[in-house]
This record gives sequence, C-alpha cells and structure tokens, in this order.
Amino acid sequence: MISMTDSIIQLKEISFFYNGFQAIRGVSLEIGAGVYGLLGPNGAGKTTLMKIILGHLAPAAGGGRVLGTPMDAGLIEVRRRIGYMPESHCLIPGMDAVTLTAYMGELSGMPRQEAIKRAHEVLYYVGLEESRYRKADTYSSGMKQRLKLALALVHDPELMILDEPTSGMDPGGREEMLELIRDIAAKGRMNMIISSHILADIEKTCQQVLIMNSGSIVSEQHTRDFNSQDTSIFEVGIKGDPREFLRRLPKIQAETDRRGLLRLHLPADYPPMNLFRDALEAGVQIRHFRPSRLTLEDAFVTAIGESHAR
Amino acid sequence: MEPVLEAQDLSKWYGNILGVSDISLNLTPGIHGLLGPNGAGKTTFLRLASGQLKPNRGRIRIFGEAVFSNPGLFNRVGFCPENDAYYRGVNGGDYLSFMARLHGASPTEARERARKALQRVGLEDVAAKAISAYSLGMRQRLKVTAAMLHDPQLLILDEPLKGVDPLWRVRIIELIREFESQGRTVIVSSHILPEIESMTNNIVLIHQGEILAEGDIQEIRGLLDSHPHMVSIRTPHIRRIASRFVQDNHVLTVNFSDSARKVVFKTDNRDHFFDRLNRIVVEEALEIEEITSPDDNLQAVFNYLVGRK
Amino acid sequence: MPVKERGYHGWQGSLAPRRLRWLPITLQGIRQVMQKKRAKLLFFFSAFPFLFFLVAVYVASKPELRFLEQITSLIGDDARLFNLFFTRSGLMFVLFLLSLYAGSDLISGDLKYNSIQLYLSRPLRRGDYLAGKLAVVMFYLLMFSLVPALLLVAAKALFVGGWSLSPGILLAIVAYPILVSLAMAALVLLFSSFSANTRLAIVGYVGFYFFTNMLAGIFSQVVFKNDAFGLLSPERTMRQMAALLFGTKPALAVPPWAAPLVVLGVTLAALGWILFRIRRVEV
Repeated sequence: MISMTDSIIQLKEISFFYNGFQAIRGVSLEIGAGVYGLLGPNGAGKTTLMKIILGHLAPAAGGGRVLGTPMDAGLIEVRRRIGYMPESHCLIPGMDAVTLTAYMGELSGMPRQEAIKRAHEVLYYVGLEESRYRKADTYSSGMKQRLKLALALVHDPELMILDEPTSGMDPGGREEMLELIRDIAAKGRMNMIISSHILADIEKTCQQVLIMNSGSIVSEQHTRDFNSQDTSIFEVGIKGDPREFLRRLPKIQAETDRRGLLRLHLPADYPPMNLFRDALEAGVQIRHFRPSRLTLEDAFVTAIGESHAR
Repeated sequence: MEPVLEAQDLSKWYGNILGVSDISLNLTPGIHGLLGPNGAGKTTFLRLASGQLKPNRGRIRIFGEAVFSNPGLFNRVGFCPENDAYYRGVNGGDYLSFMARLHGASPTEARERARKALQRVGLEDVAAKAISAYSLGMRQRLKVTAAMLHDPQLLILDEPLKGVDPLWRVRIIELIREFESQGRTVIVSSHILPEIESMTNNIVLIHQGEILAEGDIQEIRGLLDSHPHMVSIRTPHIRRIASRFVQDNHVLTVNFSDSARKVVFKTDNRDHFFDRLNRIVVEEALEIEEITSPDDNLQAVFNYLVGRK
Repeated sequence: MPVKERGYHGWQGSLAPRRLRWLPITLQGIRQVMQKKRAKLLFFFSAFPFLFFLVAVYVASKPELRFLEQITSLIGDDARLFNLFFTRSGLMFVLFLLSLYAGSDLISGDLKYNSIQLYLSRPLRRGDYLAGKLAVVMFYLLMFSLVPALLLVAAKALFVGGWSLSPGILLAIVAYPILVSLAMAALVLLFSSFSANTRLAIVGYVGFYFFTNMLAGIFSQVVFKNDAFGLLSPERTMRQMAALLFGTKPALAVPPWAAPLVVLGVTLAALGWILFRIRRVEV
C-alpha cells in the first residue's frame, strides 16, 4: 500500500565513517512520492547512502525513517517493501529465470504458489517471456539487467532503488529499460530512487534530482525547472540564409550552437512571435523554435563547481 | 581528400559466425560515432581497425596503409579498448611513462608526457597509487588519456565513458572535441546515443554485420522515406492549427496531447509543411510556444533502422 | 468483467514475515543438491552402513544363526551397537563425502556469481542466510545418520520384540548425529566461503581432513607422545565424543570435556568466520 501522505524517506543529520574517512556528512533529506534521481561523482557517497537506507550500514550519527520505520529499530523488515536493483552482475547459479524470480519473491515473504505466478507475470512484463525457462547464467548482459529489474519487482514493493539500471545495455535495450521504468512509475504507482552516471537517463525518468558531492547533498532540482525558462533567449532552427534573417532582426545577440541552431537573445520590447514575421519576410522557414532551457548537465556542473568552491 | 580510414568489402567471420560482411567505408577527419546493437559487428569492426584481427576478405586501410601486421602505423593511431585490463602492481604514472617510452619517447620526455596526460584527466593526485586501487571510472580515464598520449592522428575509443561519473563524462567529451578541433580524427563507439550526439553529427550504424547508415544524422533521417517526419507544436491553439492542416495531403497523421498542449504531425514533405506553418502563424497571429522535431535525433534513427519489436 | 490492460500491474497479496525466514533457502538448496550429477549414486552408497547394520541386527536377533556369534553379542549392548554404527561402520567417511558433495559449492557458488547481494536485498539477516545453508547440508547428513539410527532402533524393537533402549542411549543416538552434522556442515561451509572457486573449497576441505588426521597421528604417537594431539583430527575427536555420549571406553586419554569442547569451539569459530565473510560482501 503506497501512502501518499507519509514521506518515503526521512533522514536527519546522517553521518557515516569508513575507517576514519567521513563518507557521509550530516545529510538531511526528505524523499516523498515520485521518482528521484541521485547523481554525483564517484566517491560522493551515493552507494553508502543507499546501503544506509537498505539497512546494511548503521549511521554513526543522526537518524531518520524509511517507509515509516525508524532507523534505529532496524531496517531489515523494511526490505520487504523495497525493491533493490544492484549495479553489479548478480544472479544465483544453476537456476532458470522463473525459479530465481519466484525464489526471491518467497524470500520477501510471498507464498510459494503466488511467487511462481507473479514471477511469470513480471518476466513477461520486462520482456523475458521467451527465455524465462533458460538458465539465468546463459543470459546476455541486457537480459541480465531486465532480470534484475524483475527481481526487484516481483514482490510489488512500495519503493524501488535502482543503481545504474541501463548499465551495459545497447541503445535499443536502454530505451526499453527507460520505458519500463517510466511505465512502472506512471500514475504515481511506484516510488523510485535512481542512481545513474548518465544524465540523459535521469532527465528522462526523474521528477526530482539530488546531487551529491563529498558526502553531502549539494543540490536538489526539479526537472520541471528545466522547462521553466529564461524567456528572453530562444533556440531557433531555420532553413534558408541566416544572414538575411538576422539582418531583419533588431540589434540582438545571436550565436550558433553546435547543432547549427541559433540562440537569440531577444530584448524585452521584441515579442518572440515577431520572429516568424521576420522569417517570412526574409524568405526563411522556422523549423525549430524553443525557449532556451537549462539542462541537467548545466545544473550538475554548477552544483559540483559550487560545492568545490565551498 | 584522402580518407583517414578506408574499408573496402571488408569481411570477417569466425567459422559459421558472421562478424562483419562486405563493409565499405570512407572516413574523413572529424569525429565519427560508431553505434549498433550488441552482437552487431561493432567489436569485430573495431578489432579489424585496430589491427587485432586479419580480414578474411576485403581490406581496411588507415592513412593509406594496411592495418594488420603494421605496428608502425600505431604511432599515429591511439586505441582505447572497452575491457578493463591493467597491470597489477603498477601505478598510474609509471604506466603512462612506460606507454610513452613504447612509442619512442626518451625517459624525460616520457615522464613529461605522462604528467600532462594525468593532468588532462584529473588523475595527477593518484599518479603514485596502484592502478588496481583506482575506481572503475578512474581506470577508464587512465585508458582514454593513455590512448592520446602519443598525439595520434586517429583516435579509436571503444565505450570511453563506461563507469565514468557525470562530471568527467562532460569533461572527456570536451577533451575529445578539443582533440578533434586540432585537425584529428576520432572514432567513438558508444551505446549512449545522447552522448554521441553531443560529440558529433556524423555516425556509422552497424547491424547484423553490415553498415546500415553512415554520415550526418539529419541527412540520414531525411533519407528514411518510410518514416514520415514528426513535427511537434506546443501552442494554446492545438486544434485550430490542426484544422489548418487536416486537408493537406502531405500531412499523414495528426496526434493531440491535450495535457501537454501539443499537437504532433507526421508529414512526408517538410518543406511544404513548414512553409504553410510559418505562413499560417503570421497571417493568423497565432501564439506558438514551441516547435520541435521529436524524431529527428539519433535514437529515432536507430529505432527506425534497427527496429525494436 | 474488467479488462486487464498492458503495463505494470501491482500484486494484491500481502507479504507476511515468515517464522523461519531462511526456509526457502534450505528448500531450494536441497532441491539443487538432488539435481546434481550422480546424486542418486552417492545416496545409494551412503545407505550401505545402515543396510549393513540392519542386516546385522536382523541376524543377531535370530538365534538360529548362531555361527555369527560376534554379531549376536552386539544386540545385547545397545551402547556399543550404536557407537559402532556411528563411528566404525564407515559412516564417518560417508558423512564426510556427503558434506563435501552437498556443501562445497553452497557459498563459493554465491561468491562467484555475486548472489549474496541478492540475498541481502531481501529481509534476511546474515544469520538467516547461514542458517539456511547449514540446514541444507545438515538435512542430508541427518538423513543418513540420524534417520537410519532411528530406523535401526525401530528395526531392533521389531526383530527382537520389545523395547530395551535406555533414555540415556536414546539421547545419545539423537544428540551425536546432530552435533556431528552441525560441526561438519559448519566446516564445509567454512571452506566453501574461502573462495569463489569451488574446486579450491573442495581441495581445502579434503586436504584439511587428511592433513589433520595425519598430524594428529604423528604428533600424538611419535613427536609429543601426548594423546591431546589426537584432538587435531576431526574423526578422532568425534569418536571421542561418541565414546563419551555412549559411555564406552574412549580411545584418547584426555579429560571427558575435551572432545566436546573442541567440537563446539571449532563449530562456533567456523560459523563466526563465515558471518564475517558475509559481512565483508555486505559492506
């Protein structure tokens, strides 16, 4: 049962040390419903944070709640309601996909028959229906990724934690995996935390992004913010002679970006729709028109840069 | 202009298993993205290009010279393989110095090159640490900079960003573009299409051992006749705009997304479509928030040509 | 009737915490061992000590077969009978083989394929994982030690006609196989946890057995001339413990608490090490 009012994860001033090295520094956050991205350089503490949330590591200081359970009560039972998709290659030898998936379901508390039925269902869902009776160790790396997703789904958790979900997959597989993730999270059905090195993946799937660096959360972003724009700068793609076009525009700053699009800085007294009029008069077609957006990449680089300066 | 890499009817098979079949290719200086599904022949092609395999048929030449059994060629070619293999017990700095010496540098020059190479990828602080202690991302950065160490004219990179964190992904892409801007050639193979797009517009798509497409992404898209172009318009007047196009024979489908305030058209004649669109917008003073072409990107080209499900 | 559309569907059931969280691990492990190559052959030969003793009990209970007098004398003395069954019938070797067969890859396989990560993503403690694996090995060991022993008790009662077993002996008959199975299971899992390479685990376990046996013999007989070194050998220690439990004459001149202490100590140490090894994977 997904409760919409309680927050999913609450952390207050969590600190953790590895052999005297401070891996997590006073992290406080509140993760609510929806899909969160977790980004950061290597060694930022993302994996450590996930291990703390899963109850494998106890924080040296601070506390919090995961799915309503206080951390000091022990988080082992909470794993029943969490689906974890690890980054590394992991499977159990000698088992075919159905048996393995059902087995994992049983370990999470599903009755055996239910687990088997549900195993078939999730294997169909992730696209492994034709190979589900094959031994899992014969799978290609793309198939293994899907299998890991199935293992995280079989017990229908309330929260999923995915670590590099598209790792090792080819372009077709990546697209399908991202589609699956979006489908699972659609209509608010599932809460997720996705850790990835690939900004494009995070942009496609997450509503909020947490950026970590050196053991702290340095920035929280809404991906929606990337659409709310600086409405005076527009990307314009045209077919035709740009010089004619630019001549008709008032004195404005114009650059061409790597993709051949014009970035036009429009003054306050020039309504953007006038661009179409000027284009028509210049005999030029506008084929691409968009207010300039901040990308996740920009936000990330800024956040890390600022945290280094601090 | 003489192509940097030239393949003619290049074929390689392993018994029954087909690696690549009759590949012909001419690559000029610049950055070329190499992509394809797993098992498509990309790895075989890269191995042929880096001299690890001998063609069964046809030929492959770099700078006009045959690749196989031509070690001298590799003074001008740098290769960064995908696999994670490294010498145990060696530290980063020594490894790079060693590589530089293999390319003929003197001991002092080698040290200097190694130092600069480490700086380029932010590994100067860990130069004295054993490579086995590096994280995956750090080892990857080491491999990339090792491939560039001897200033090659052609750089071949196989999944150079695997395991690299977001910050360094951006920086390495910049590094590659900077490298190319000095007049050199780079072939980058990757599964992550948005990253290829941020590096270059030129791609080579391999599937089932053959080249399906080669060249500029937009040009390739333009050649896909069986896939009419999508144009997405975000506007408060989605249905009004749609009504202006419904009777146009060049408009094949119209899709509405009320929640997103978007109308998406498919047209087989973009010139005609945009002509009309620009006219209508001005004549009727319509407000437009956004015009984009959602399938004018590499992922769409890949999907159309390689065909999922 | 509502239509089931494509896309992700949740599961309407509820997840109940099981009383024995590790039970699925054990059941799955037992199934997997049975599917191994030549399992049935091994089980067939493992039954031999039991079958032999079954025949002996039958023969001894029939006075007509007088010529087998030595066996007849066995019937009278339960303690000796079962002591012999457990320690001198080849059962020790059978149990050793079974523990090797069932247990050598239980943890090394998981290390190789990184399965422990999957287990730990479930609501399982390290102890649950270990308990589950131990139970797999103990299942087979008890199947060929405790169960046959109880069957022999029943057979004797059947053939001789009457119940003559003292509670002390009955307790020993149950306690000894359990202690021995636990110790052996812990040991084989210890070696299995050393490496992701099952062959190394096998070599290690086998080597350990023979090496310690050899050392025990050399040290206790030749070098130090002290029976205490006999406790280096797992087999001799277990025999010593059997003698203690069944009240028969022990082979080694050591205090009575020595053997059980060694068995217990080694078992606990092995279990402790395995838990430590799992923790290293966890973090």
